Amino acid sequence: MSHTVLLVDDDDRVLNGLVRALRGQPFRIYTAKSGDEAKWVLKSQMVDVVVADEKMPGLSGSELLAWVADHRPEVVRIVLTGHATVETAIRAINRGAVFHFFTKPCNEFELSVVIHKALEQKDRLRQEQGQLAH
Amino acid sequence: MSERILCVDDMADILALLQRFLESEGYEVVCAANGAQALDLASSERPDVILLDVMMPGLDGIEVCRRVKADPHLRSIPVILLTARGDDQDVIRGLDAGADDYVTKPFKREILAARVRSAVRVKRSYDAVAEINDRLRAEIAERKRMEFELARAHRLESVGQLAAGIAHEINTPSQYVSHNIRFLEEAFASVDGLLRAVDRLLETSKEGAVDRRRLEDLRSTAGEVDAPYLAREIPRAIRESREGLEHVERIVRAMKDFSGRDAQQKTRVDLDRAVENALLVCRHAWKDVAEVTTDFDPNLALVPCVPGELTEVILHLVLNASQAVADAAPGRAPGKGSIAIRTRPLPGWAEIRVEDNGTGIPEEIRSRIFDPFFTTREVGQGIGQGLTIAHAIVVTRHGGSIRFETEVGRGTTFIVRLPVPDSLACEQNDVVAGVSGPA
Repeated sequence: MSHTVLLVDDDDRVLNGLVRALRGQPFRIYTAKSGDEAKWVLKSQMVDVVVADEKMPGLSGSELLAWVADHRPEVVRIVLTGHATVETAIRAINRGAVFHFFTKPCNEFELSVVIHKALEQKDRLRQEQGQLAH
Repeated sequence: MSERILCVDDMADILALLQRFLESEGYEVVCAANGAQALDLASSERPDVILLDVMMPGLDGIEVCRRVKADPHLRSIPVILLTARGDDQDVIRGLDAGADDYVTKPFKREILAARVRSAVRVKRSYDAVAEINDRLRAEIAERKRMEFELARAHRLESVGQLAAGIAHEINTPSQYVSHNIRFLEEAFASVDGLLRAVDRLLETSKEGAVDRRRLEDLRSTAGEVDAPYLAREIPRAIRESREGLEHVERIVRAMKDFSGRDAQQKTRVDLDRAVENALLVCRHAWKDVAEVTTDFDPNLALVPCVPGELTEVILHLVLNASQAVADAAPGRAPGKGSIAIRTRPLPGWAEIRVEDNGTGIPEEIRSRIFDPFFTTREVGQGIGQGLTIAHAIVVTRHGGSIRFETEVGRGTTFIVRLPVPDSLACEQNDVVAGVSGPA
């Protein structure tokens, strides 16, 4: 079963860089340039992990992830931010219950490791739930 | 402490008389027998009143009076001339020479005493005023020094506040350049693999016959590599990385221009460049909340000013505009607000307008927005010095003007005017006049 990761950032070059750096990874990548576009993708596609930039015009990363927590709780949520402050981290964690929190510049290797961990966790959960159902 | 009276008369018995009388009135008395001695003692003893005989050989009383009144250290001392009866001319000349009062000889004691008392009162009020003046002067000097310090502190604070935003502006390209390089590294490995397969094919095909295994090998390697993808993405990765590094370069240069301002030299400045620097340096503040447009008049001459300071003025205006636009976001239709910066020449002036469609400035605070430390921001979000500093730079240091037009709910326009001399043959590097501050 192939996994899907949604990357959200208002900066094209950032998205392109991420897509290129994650190219060899065993998951499909979707991209969105805004919180609204991300919502649209999440409503119409199966997505396993969403990685969102905090600072975007309109919906911020943490606001988007709060929506995801409410409407798509099964999607694992990761936030990227250039303003690493304790308040931002706490806000992101409290609002959106993020799985992980990265500061920019984010190392693509660490990001893929965390995505893999998230996917493993998801798969394990699904397995356990499957077993419970029996 | 009793007041000190300097008595000057060439007649010894009159001096003795005066001394005895005045000492009995409770004054301290110093005596001089001629004009030269009088001037010496006036300087060394600093009396509160000078009683001065007009008729003296050598330096006469009128001349002594003139010299006393011409000396800035002595001119505050009231001078009472002792004149002979009937000598109206002496009286007139004496008063014109600066004397404060006169007594005719022979004098009635009571009258002399009263005049001395009056003179002492004058001296006291003068001293009181002089002390207040000194204090005011000291306060003004202190205030100027504090303004300078405040300006410097604010400059540092601006740099500090901007630093976080600038760091983000630099971290972002840093991230995707790094990702692109990682991609290029892998892409090269793929291309390298392909080239090796080509090599192997060529190696084994030297005789002219093509080795089919090598051909298959090349074909499958080519398939793995996804050459079309690489052909498209490698140039893009290189181009976008270059663009990112150019962006970093521009920001760093702008910051350098902005903060390297301790050279207080006025030079002729390209207004467009100063505005662009300001926008670069605070991009993180307006990027997500407003569309910024610029409209530079091509006929605008170079403006004489301190370049970093002009950037600072624009910076503060743009920061204010960004904040106003951000504040207005909840009530506005979706989408970013707008900030427009326009320059145009006027006779004798260069005008810069910074217009936003933010919240506008409420009536009740309009008179205070340039006040030091006045702010509508929350604690920790800025100390309200931006407009004060902008005002000081434009008005005090450049002789220009800054005002605004505003409407609550519609937006605000700040209008800055800087003087531009008609003659374009101004010297380069005119030193800014009137800069005060610690040496």
